[in-house]
Amino acid sequence: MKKVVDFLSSRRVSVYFFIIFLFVSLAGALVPQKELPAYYEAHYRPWAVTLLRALQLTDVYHAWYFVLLLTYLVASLATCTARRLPRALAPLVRRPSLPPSLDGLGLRAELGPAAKPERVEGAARRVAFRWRRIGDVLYGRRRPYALWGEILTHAGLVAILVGASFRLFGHRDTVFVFEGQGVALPLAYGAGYELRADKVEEVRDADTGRVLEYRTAVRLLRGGEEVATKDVEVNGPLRYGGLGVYQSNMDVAGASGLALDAVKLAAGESIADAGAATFDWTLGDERGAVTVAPGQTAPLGETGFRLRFLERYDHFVTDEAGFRNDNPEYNPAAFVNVVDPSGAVAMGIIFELYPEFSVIKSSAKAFAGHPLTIKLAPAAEEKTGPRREYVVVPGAEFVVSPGERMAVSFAGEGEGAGDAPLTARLARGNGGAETFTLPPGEWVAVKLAGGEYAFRFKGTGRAALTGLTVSRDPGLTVFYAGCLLLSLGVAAAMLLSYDELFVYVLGGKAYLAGRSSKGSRLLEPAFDGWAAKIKEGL
Amino acid sequence: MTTRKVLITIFFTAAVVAAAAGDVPRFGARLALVEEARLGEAFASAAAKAERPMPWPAFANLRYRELKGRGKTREGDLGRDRDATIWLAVLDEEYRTTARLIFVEGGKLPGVPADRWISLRDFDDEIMPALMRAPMAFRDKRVEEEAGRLVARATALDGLSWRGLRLVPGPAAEGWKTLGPERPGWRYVVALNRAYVDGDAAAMREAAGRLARELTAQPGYPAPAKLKLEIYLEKFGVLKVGFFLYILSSLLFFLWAALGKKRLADAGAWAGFAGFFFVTAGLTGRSIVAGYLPTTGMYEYLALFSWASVLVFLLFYLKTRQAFLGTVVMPVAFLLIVLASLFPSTIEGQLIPALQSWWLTIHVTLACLGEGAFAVAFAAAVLYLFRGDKPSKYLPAKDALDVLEYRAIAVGFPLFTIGGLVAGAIWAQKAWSVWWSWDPKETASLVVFLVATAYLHARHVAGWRGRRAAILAALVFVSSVLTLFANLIFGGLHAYGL
Repeated sequence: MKKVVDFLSSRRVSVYFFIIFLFVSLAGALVPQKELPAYYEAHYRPWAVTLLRALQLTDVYHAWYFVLLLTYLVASLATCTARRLPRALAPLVRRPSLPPSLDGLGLRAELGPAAKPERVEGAARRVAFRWRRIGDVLYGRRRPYALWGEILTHAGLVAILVGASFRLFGHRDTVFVFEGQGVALPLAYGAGYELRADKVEEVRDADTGRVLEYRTAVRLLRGGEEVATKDVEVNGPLRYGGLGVYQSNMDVAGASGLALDAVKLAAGESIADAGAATFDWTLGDERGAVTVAPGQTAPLGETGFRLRFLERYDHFVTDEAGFRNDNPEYNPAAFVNVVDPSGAVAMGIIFELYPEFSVIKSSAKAFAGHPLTIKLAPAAEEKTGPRREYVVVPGAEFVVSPGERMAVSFAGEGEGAGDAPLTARLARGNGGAETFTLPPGEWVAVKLAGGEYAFRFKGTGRAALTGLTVSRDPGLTVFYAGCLLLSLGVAAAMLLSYDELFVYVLGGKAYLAGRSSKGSRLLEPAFDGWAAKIKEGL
Repeated sequence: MTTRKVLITIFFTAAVVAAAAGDVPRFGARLALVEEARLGEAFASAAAKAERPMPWPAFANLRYRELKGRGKTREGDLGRDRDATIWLAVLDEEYRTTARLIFVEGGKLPGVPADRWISLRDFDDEIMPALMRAPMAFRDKRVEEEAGRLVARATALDGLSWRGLRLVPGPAAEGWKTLGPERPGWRYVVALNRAYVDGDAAAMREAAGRLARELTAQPGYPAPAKLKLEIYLEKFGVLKVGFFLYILSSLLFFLWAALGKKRLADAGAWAGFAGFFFVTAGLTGRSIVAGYLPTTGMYEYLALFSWASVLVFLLFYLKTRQAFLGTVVMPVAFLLIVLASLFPSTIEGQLIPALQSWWLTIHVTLACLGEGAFAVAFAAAVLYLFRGDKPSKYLPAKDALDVLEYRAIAVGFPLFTIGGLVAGAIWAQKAWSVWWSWDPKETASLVVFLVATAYLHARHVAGWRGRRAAILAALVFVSSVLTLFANLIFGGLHAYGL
């Protein structure tokens, strides 16, 4: 056991360790780490690649010898800490003792002719030490806790390294979530966790337009219940139960994905009703509301006019090519035709959020003198059910209801967006799964835990995408404790010293001797000052 | 209204220009609307398809942009996009609120009379060179007159036909703001749309003009005091003055080393401190303008490193009244400034999100102060190594240099450990989710920590003194200088903006 302790606290071994550790760390910095094999083959000569692999320099920080070095470091630090502990404890638990020879101490100054003890004591108290008598010697000391500096420093380093080793049992993943959607977290983080990104935004400076912050409104759910919510920012993670969610990427411009509509069907409602829109109309003195399914026509009350609902875009935007349905902002618009009693057709685009921009144009005379306004009502739950839009990455699972996840991909190989149907795979909370097809533009009924839903594949879409790093690090608390110990330790060790003074009489003269944990030379300037002060007092 | 002719929606610019033509000083608000609106034949063909009208999508993603001046107009300020029309504000280098709004069209448009527009080529060939080469010409009445002529020509909208408008649909780009119902002037957007539908060019122009006037109000204009400070910092080159004083200080110390007159050393110290004063003023001013301490980018870090080295030297001098350390510290400080000058010194208007944390100040400042102390230790070590054993009137005894070298490391070590490593690791955990990732800068900083630890152990445990300790102390500083290049060469997480 003694040999082990000696080995671990050996200076020579620690020098060798230090040199090896230094070179290994530098190697890790010089050689790109954890790249694909092709990278090394492209950038290094064959013999160099062989050497790098043989020495595990391509992933040096996980190489067996590096782990061995770290293990030695932890053991050595722990041993040194334990060995220094008695010395650090001694001033606190034992009565102070005098050194064998006061004359032999490095610091010594003559104070003058010996005076009465009371006078000496009074003079000594001019120096801010804690004084007491040990026999004939007046003993003073200050900052015994300075000895703890080394202990805390070593203990802090041990704690940090232990915290690092606990990290091996942790997990870390980056998940990408489209705005408004959720992803299930791997089981490694705990059962039943789901992460939802309610809002994804870049906060910009009003004056310069530069990005101030990347922010995701995150909700963490477990078993369907919300357990934590926070606006996660780059330096503001969400922390819950050892889990951390960090903002790492963002694409507010919108990443492309497959766009799906989902509508909850009310009791008794059929798919044909899915996606119906309600229009509030005013024609002269007449007014009313009409609900129309896409492709259908409905009369506007008794006016003789009819409304034909062509199509709905939830993300209407235009450019020189016409209009598209990929506005990153929600901008619902309905394309309609209004047919007058004579059969003349007026075209219209009706905007839900900006009714002042709705347009109904026709050159037909029938419309002259008939002030017609149509407003698109927001989807009402009782009529059409809550409407959700998903923009998903092909093949990636997204949460459709608590405990139920769906993944969609193209049915055949090599098929792209357009007329190709999707294959959807629905994973149930009870472990079951089923597969069904989503033809483009057609509604398909799907029974979910929350009721019956209609899904429709409507092509590609864009949605803001956020990249969140999720991590669970069991050693984090130990790491923080280590940081605190290390900070206190280095400050105490470097800036403080345990100093002792001895006032004694020899040959009719009074002397002051001193010693310091930092060594006599460093105490010298201060010692001279104390000696002068005590001398003055005598 | 004919729907087949093309009209560039620079009516915004035109509206602003119209306002400008009538009231030039109002453009002193230094605002430019940069907008891209252009329709091609495809719009017309899309209108012919199906039975859908083409409403003016003003509501879609209406964007406009303000330009805040920081000197000459740069390429990035120009809203170029293929052959789109450009509006730009040419800004006075003196940050005068006088601005010239020049409307330029990128290429001719079919059906548009040639004398209504200034082509980009004409602008580039005739006007821009004069403006960029002679910023003082901004004050020249001739330029103002010429700009006025351009403005007048650009405002002539009579006879132009509208076909349709597109106003930058698409995602937010840097510098663009969204105009929505909650912003002032929305009612004019509505009026503009109605006028478009009705085919009323005059009503469109009026609505556009009113909208432009609303948008030219600048709620966030930089405070004049801040702008003035930035101007004077640039004009007087406060940091440059400090740099030259460092050179002077170094020369005086070299003369002292050669001639031995104590007054030269004192003069060198005071020249260095005068330089320190100017560098402090320069860095302080830069901090006020930027809104954060100069702790980002290579230029700022090297300048701060240089400043910290002289600060520690100053503190030592004030305590001991001995200037000999300046022989090494001042040239080091000077060389660090030289290194800094190799990197861009532009003040970043806005920190990237990852750097917006008070940990940045703690981490970088403490690490810098630690390295400054290492620089003083380096000076003591170098003087020790080159000092002979004979008594010298220039330098203290070797023992004293040895003690000084230790004290400097003893001050720098906790600062560097707490600031560079501990604070850095804690911040990395918050920002990157992992407190240590063997990033090149982290690894290089660990090397500094290890070398300094080796020094301290060598002194306390192995009893090293003198030459061996001095070499190790010098290595501490050398390794801390090498950390500066870790990310330059190897990239990594610390390589923001490199």
